[in-house]
Amino acid sequence: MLSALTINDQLALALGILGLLFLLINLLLLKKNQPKHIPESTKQAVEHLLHVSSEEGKRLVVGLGHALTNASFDLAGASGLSLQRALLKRSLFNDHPLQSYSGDGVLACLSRMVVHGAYRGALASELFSGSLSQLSGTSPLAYTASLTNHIPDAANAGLLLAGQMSPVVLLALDQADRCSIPSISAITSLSGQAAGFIGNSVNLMGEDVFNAAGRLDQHKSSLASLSAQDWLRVAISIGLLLGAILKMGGVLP
Amino acid sequence: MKRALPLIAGILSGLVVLAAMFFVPQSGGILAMVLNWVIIVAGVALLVAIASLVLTHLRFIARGKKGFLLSLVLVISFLATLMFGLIRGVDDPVFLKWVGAVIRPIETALLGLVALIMMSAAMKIFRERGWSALTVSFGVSAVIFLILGLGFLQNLNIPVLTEVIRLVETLPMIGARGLLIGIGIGLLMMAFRVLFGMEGSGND
Repeated sequence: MLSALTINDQLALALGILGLLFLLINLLLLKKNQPKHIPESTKQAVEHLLHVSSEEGKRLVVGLGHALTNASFDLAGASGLSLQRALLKRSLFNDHPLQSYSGDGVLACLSRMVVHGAYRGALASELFSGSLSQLSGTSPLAYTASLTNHIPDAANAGLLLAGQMSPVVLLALDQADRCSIPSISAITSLSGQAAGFIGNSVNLMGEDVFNAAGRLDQHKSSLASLSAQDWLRVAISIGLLLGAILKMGGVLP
Repeated sequence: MKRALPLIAGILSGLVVLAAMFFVPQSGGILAMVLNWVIIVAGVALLVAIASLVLTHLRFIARGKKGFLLSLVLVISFLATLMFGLIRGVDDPVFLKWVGAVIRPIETALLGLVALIMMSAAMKIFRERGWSALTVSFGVSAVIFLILGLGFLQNLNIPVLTEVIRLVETLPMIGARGLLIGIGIGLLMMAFRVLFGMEGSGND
């Protein structure tokens, strides 16, 4: 059955199994094996987020992106939800709790579930308000235009962009810069990361985008996946080097 | 039990879909069926999200919240589009023309604005981040690829130059692959957390 798969499928399957194995090992060994290496950019970004959301008592605006089911089904579009959950837990009883905007119907519903779950978990369901998690446009441009419109508010302390976004999001980053609102971008698309880089924001790149939530919530599964990521990175690097050597040696076609 | 059943159903369906993606002929159209379900659920979720959005803005209007005029514009334009679409049909050329006449100029203006902001941000990067190896290499590579994009050098047909250009043009792909591998690793771990119910809804 496996022989019917292409070499890329087999490779993906092998990496998936390896990743799962690493995750399970890390879940079992976590107490002994706390992840030591967490990239500096993630650490800085997280500390900054904590500062603005907890200490200043102001509102943190989270843009969750516009692509979970809109154009295609892309799990990367939901990467902001874990960050939203981790930040929300620390701002539940603030004067201005975290406010999130989604550009996708499913994402908006999931985001609302996260908000409701956080309040229910804190036994404060009566404080839950549907307006804390809103749909703000169903196309990249409509979403960005709406998000940009929400930024210039005196109660806003920071902007976090987390999820799948197009480079158009630079409009929101520029608006935040003009309003002197610090911004952090944890965008999963390459073009979005490029926009985040030139948009005067703390910009997370590559797998760092997925690490910030783990650093924040210190949840066992998040920490285990951080360690597993490191292990998988090493395994892939060895595989790539080995492949290059075999290719140069003429062993591989 | 209340939380375990949906979790088990989610895990099982996730594993079945994952297996079906790898073994397409043997899966007997499971993927297409699940995809149809997802489309239906996504459509319903969008309806729920839109209804919630309209209700939120209606509440803003009722309370006279700051900026409620924008909420009024949103509700009126939503209702007008909805009624127009229901009466004339969503494929009606007049409906499409009117909606397009509003949306297209706004989107074009926004895209034009993005181009200007992108240029201004690229200039500002040196002021904000200073002259570092990263910013200088960003500026130099932007200029190089701008020149290469003109196609002038390629038309000179000098074999050595063509080879150098070909080599330079592969560089962004190498960087992009590095980033994509990183994103892939992060996404894989996130997928496992979602698949096995480790990503809660906040109530954990």
